[in-house]
Amino acid sequence: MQKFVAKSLGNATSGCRLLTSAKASSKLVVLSQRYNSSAAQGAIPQENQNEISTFNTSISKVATEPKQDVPANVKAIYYQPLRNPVQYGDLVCDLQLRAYDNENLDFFSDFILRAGFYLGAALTGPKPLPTKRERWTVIKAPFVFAKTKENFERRTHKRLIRVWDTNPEVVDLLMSYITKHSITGVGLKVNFYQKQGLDLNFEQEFQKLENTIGTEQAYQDLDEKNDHISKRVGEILNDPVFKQYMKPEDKPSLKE
Amino acid sequence: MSSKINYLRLPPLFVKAGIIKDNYVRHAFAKTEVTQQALKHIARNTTLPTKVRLQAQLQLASMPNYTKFTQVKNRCVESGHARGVISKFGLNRYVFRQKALAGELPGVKKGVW
Repeated sequence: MQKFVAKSLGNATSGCRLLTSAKASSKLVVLSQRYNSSAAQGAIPQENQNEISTFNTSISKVATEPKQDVPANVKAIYYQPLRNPVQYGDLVCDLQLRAYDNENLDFFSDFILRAGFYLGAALTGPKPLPTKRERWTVIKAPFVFAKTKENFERRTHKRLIRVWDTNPEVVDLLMSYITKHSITGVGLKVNFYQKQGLDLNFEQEFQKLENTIGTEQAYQDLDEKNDHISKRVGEILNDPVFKQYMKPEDKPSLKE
Repeated sequence: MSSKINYLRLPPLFVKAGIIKDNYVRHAFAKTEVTQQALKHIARNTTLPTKVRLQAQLQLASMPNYTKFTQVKNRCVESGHARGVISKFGLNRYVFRQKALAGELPGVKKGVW
């Protein structure tokens, strides 16, 4: 999977900036409609102010009120990240973030959600996964005095973000963008899911296996590049020391 | 199988006699690992003739002790100590404590619960 990400990085980075800017600008139009930004107009009309206030209370939390004259994309940072709705429920990939500290973790997962929204991906999360607690109790002293001990602990916080209904190209783009802007102390694990047909003739494969079982040939057809041990088994069985005992009549029958 | 091992690169660790010995065992095992696994496979494969399996078992038993993985011992990376090694960090308990208190192990804090 890591290889897949690296490969996609190479392909996607060149087109990355172009595409994000194109997508982002079209989204910004939508945004400015939704937030009813007044960056260009100056003061907000009375009716639009009402819209903003309803938006604040119903959908997102605001720690501090944004200034009125900031652009819409800056204003969006004051609110919870926007999301594209999940339409088909087809899980494309999931991202697991891990860190020893929840601050960087929450910041980065927020960043991913925002980046995903502007790319047009449907993301859900961050779902907090159970925190892993590792504990060690060690003797304080370098020698003897084993009654005095000290406790140490490490907590690994985890978050799960899932990507739905998105093209592989867009997912690649998202991954490359995330890895490019990754922050210290946050690990990222990505699983991609792809659907594939099953084209394997089980009967034929089984017959092939049954014919060669218990012979040197069983070790010939294997993938020698990866399977060093099977290759070595084949070599040993062809060795004269072993070869003299490899007689067909000595082969035990499988039916017993 | 028991070919002479000419060149042994020492690991970038705290070097003492135990480390050198352990290093030798690790190299010897790495050289014979595939053969050992293959022989074990033959010895335990019930579809092969009994004499072949016996021969494989004999060859396995005739290999010297220093080629076996059971002789490998995890040692502290910093101090070379063989006991009280916390395998996750490869450190002896005392070195682990010193490093943890100095903040050199990411995420490890004094445990309070």
